[in-house]
Amino acid sequence: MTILHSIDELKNQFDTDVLNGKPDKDAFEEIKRKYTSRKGKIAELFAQLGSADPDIRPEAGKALNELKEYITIKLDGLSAVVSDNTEVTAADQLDLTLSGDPFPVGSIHPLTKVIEEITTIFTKLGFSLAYGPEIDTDFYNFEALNILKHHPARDMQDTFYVTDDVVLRTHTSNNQIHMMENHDPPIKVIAPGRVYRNEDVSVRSYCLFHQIEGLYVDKNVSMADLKGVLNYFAREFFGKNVKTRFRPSYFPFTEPSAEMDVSCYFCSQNGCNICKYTGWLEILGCGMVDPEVFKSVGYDPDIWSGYAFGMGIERMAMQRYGIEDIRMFYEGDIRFLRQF
Amino acid sequence: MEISLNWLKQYCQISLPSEEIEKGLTLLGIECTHDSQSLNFTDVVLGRVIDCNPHPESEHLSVCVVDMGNEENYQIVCGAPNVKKDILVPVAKVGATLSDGDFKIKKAKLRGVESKGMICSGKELRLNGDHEGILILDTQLPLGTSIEKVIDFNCDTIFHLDITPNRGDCFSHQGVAREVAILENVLIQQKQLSMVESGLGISEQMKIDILALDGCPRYTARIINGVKIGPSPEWLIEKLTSIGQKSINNVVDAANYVLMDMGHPMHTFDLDKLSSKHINIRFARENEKMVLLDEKERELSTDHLLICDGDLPVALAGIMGGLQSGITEDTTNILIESAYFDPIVIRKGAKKLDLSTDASKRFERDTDIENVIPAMDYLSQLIVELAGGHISQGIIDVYPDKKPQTKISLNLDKCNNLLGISLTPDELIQILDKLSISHEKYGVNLICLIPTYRNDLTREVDLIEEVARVFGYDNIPESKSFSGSFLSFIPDLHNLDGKIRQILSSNGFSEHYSNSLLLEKLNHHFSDKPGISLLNPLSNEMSVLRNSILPGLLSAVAYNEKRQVKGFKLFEIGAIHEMNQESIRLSDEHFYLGMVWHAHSVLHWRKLPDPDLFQVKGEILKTLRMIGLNDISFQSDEVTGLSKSASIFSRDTQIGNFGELSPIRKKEYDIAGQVFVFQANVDILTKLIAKNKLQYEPPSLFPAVTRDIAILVKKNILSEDVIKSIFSLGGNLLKEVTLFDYYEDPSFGSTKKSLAYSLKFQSSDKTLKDKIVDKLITKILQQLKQQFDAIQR
Repeated sequence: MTILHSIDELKNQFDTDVLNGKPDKDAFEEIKRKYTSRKGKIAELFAQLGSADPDIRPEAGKALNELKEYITIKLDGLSAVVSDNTEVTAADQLDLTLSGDPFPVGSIHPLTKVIEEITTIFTKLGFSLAYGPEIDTDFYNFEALNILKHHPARDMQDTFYVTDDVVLRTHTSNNQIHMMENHDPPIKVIAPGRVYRNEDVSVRSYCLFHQIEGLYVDKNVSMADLKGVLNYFAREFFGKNVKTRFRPSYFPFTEPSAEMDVSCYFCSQNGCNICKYTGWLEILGCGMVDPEVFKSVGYDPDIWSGYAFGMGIERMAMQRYGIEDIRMFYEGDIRFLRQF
Repeated sequence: MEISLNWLKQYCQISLPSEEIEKGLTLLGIECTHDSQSLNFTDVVLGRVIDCNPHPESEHLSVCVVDMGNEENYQIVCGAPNVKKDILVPVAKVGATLSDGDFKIKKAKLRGVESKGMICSGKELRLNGDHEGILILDTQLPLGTSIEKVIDFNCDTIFHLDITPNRGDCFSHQGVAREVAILENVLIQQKQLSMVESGLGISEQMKIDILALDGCPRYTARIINGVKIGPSPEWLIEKLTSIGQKSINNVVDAANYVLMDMGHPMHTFDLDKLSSKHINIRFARENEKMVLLDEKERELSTDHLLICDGDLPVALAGIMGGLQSGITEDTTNILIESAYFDPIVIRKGAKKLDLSTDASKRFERDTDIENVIPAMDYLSQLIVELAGGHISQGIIDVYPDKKPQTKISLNLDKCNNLLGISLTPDELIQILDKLSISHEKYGVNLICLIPTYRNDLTREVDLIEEVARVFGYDNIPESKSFSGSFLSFIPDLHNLDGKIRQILSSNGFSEHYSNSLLLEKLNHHFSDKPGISLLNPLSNEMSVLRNSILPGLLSAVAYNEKRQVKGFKLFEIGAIHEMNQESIRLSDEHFYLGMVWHAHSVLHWRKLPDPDLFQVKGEILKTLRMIGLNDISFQSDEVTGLSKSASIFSRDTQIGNFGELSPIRKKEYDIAGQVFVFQANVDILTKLIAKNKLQYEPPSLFPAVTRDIAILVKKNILSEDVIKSIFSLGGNLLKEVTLFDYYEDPSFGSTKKSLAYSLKFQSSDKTLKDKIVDKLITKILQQLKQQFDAIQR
């Protein structure tokens, strides 16, 4: 038997030893000792190399070195598996079903969620975010919006007064006037905010709520543009299969004015309590900016045109999450808040 | 407003089903729902009385045999005087219901005679008011036919309309009929009157002067003599009740009917109670008083317009008549007033008295000045029909400045551009025709003549809306592209709010939205800045705007605690308001962040530490660093409403404060547990962050050297001051100072405490030698000894 045979045999023997399943730690140490220790099989063969036939010595030397490297690499790889096994054993002794340290889950208010969802949709369309004061003068909340004193349109919104001339804004539409006063056209903003109405608190109404106002002023803006943007919004917010309906309405600061309804997504227009069996949900008011509004901020209505829209957040959040009592939004009930 | 379908049919042919009318009106801008009235009975069929004999036990009853087309004939006992053999009658079979299901027909014995059903009167079937006898029919239809196929019950449909404030013209059946006519593509029929005048001329009986033309541009009157006040006929009562109006007497009902029909409010006076025979229309004098028809005395102001008999007020113009001159059962002579009052004058007057009537609602929304006489003529004719009498010759019409009819120039291109449509001239004209707007070409424009009932149309853009309405908003195409300009972009000033929300919600805080209207007392709890009060609060509990973000959060803490929720964290970002007399809106608005911790020991097998002020402080610091603020320092400070509190600074700017809620406040909010709070001005945070510039420093390649020192100092020495002192001597090499031990022990004496710090030194360009660090430590210890009397341990 030549040394070359012995090298081959040793390799086979090693493979058999190693391939025999995953060795446990002791078995691994045993194998390691058997082959790589100073008195191990490899060393044994190296010792024999000197007495080998000189003709095959170079070949045998090369083969033996290769085997040594082969075994070292194999054992190295194996050592990782062996140590893994040891850790698994250690873990078995720790009950990891014991509860971890508590890091309570917080939550973002449902109204914030709806506001953020809506503003994200509009900012994609190039709308900037703007804000205006909650307490404002009669001029900004009413007069400049063509809601004249002693007009029945004032009855549309029950108003809280600070003085005869200072009110809690009844809508975010005051932002339209602030924006146009402070910026030259073109303007493209949405303005979320808190508004107040002097209405009795009940399941369906509260003394305050939140709105998002939209305003776009540029040259040659048309009602078709308004419909395009709001239909896009509706598809993004309510789903791509939503249907919309625009119907004439009245707001003193838009002309023409419209109300946008979306198809009831609870009953697919088969009729339900939420849409009061009409198949439609009233979502927002909108229209083309009235020339009187442009005049009150010094824009020339023959040059500029635009559209505006406004929507109530609470109603949308109530529909979206199935909240039946509007007061839940403002109680701060942790059991309510943590669900969002 | 309630509108009856049958009533509308007097004005135009209606072929659309009620569902379509409801939808059509809604899409024309008049929000609408409808109720179809149904029969009040079931199972009533045509029958023939084939035999009729007197009841053996009663002279009022008859025993009939009725054929209802079945093989079997039924015996029915009937109490009607007009029942006889061989008449056709409506029969309610056994099992039938009457009175909307309240009354069920059963097999019965009447005075010992079996009866299987009931022969019905007109009233029982709600066909008419006749209850004297049974209904006798004349028909060729086979016996057993359902009675609703024999008689046309003409069930009405009632539309409930929500009319926007600009459409005063729709507050009547005539007005709504004009809209329905657009849907039906017809024009409404005008009323044909056949009024007869006789006797004395009106101007011989009455004189009228308008002393306040700006309040009353037109006043007309007629006189009817010799009426007899009595109940209204059945048809009128039915019409009025169908739209929810009560019947009073024939004259009042007639006026009410014409109001609902033509939309022009008129007033009827008892002529004999107008003693001076001279009507003056003038504004009231300050504090003038009068008693109105509702029997209440009202104090008036100069905003109120009065109709006066000589100088004596007899009606509050356009709002309500006076009690003294009203129609009573004894009235025989009537003066009808039909006037046009200025909408603003009526609105101001009604608002001042908080009195809204059917009349004032219509005048406020503006009425048709040319409808004054047609409405009065119709009312006169109707009164004579219902109450007799005769109409005096002539009319008084005080109308010195005739209001010109509105003309608007309409440009088709402008219309198409604003709506984004492409109407042809012919299509435009068709739409205008539907609206009864006459027009003539003037260059490229159309000059449109607006009907006098459409006071809301004054500008071209109003006409464009009308065009859009009739064209159909749903027919306007939707743009498939959107446009914008870089010039329109503006920075988001509330960008930080969203970041804070994300950070806090990731750290166990729930976001709260609290009511910003509060009980006045709460505005003194955490701020001494004056708040904003409301002139007309809903209630005492909501009479001021919050001047602090904390009361709302603490109310929520109490709310949850009462529901056995413990150990939670809440935050809110919102506006607070402080009074500022200098501002035109009287307020300064600031956005605040408020955070509250409801401390409660955590039930956990690892016995985790109870939450305390230091945990809270750490959480605040982490939050502020996450939003991008470094250089945060805390300074013990007295904060209103808090005990153990500190102010928080970023460099020299105070950004907020934190601490533990004081026991007094806890009591006021009815909170039992321990509560920590933090508040910060978000406007200030936003500004500070905008100024912050991030500057990168490469990490050192050389090892750090750590040394610990422990010192004994007086208890009133602040750790923060010690650290500052250490840093001031450590120079560039000192990177970190960490307090790792705090210890009080009787062996130090009651006034001393032990502080131990770990100091980390590191150089960016060399490996530090012990010698250098030792030198620094010695210097630091000397300095601490000098400054704080610190003894090294």
